Amino acid sequence: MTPLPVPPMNLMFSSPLSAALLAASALLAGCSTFRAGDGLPPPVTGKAVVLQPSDAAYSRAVIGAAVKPAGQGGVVTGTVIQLTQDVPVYRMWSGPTKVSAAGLTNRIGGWWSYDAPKGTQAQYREAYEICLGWNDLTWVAQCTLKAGAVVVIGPGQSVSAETCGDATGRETYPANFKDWQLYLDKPWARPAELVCPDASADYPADPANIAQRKR
Amino acid sequence: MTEADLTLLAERWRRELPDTSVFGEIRFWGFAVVRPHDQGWCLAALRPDGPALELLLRHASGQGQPVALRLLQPEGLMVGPQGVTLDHAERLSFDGCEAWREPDGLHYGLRTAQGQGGFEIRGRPALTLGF
Repeated sequence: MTPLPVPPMNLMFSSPLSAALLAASALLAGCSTFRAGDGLPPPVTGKAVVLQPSDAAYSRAVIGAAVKPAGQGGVVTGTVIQLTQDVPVYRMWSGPTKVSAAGLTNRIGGWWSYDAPKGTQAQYREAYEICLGWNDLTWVAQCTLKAGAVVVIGPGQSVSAETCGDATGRETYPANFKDWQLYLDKPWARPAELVCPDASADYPADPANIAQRKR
Repeated sequence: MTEADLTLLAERWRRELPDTSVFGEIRFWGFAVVRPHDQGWCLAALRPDGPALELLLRHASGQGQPVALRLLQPEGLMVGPQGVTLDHAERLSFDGCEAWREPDGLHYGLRTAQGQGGFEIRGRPALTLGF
């Protein structure tokens, strides 16, 4: 494992094809914040190293759980990184009063972002390809991904209407090569890697501007 | 399918699937009941219940109560490196979502909190529990 502030393309992507796909898609999307070949995305630049499959820690990322075919969510292609510094991570969830049949909230889960939530709730849902039935996106949690954590980052994969369960065909989400997702496998079992404050530190988001608390 | 068949299926499931297995994906045909790999479930119990097989899934954190995943007339169990599939079921339900095989055998119906509809089966297994 070697620190690589600007890793070469062959370390960043699982194949030249995926690198080319990312570059082409970023251009098509008019992405100005991050381009293939720039190295890691700005929020983690200099704060993480790229792992290769031969690295001992690589398997902790469980990249096979994160990378999925078109229409099924997850990420299009994944880069496994190990943090060398603490990084804030964000997750929108359904709030403390929405519990599953198991009696649990969805505050902690596998999917996070290293970019703070911004824009409207609908824009966030589109950017991170989150079906209506999966998450209400009404609250924002900020946790800390600790130095040493091993995660997968990558552009969000598309989600089909069938995956969402929408027979009208309206609820679909395209792949997003601009707002990358961060996958932490089984976060409930990794308290040393993901440290969260009490849920009282979270805020209910204003649907019109999720960066702000709902009034 | 008799209760004896369901008991055999349950025994085979227990025998072939490691107790430590964590499922991150639950699909009824092509529908993702939960966001894939956002949460995880372990199989806490497996038992015949009349014409159905009931799987009690507990969150992998060990917190909360087990939730029943109910399968009516399940057949075709496959355990592989990617997870568990059941080729056939007449009806499936979990945590407020329900799916069923339509009489034409080519489509499945679906009911969720967002509404009701249907999709083509296209040869996919009725249930996928992905690791």
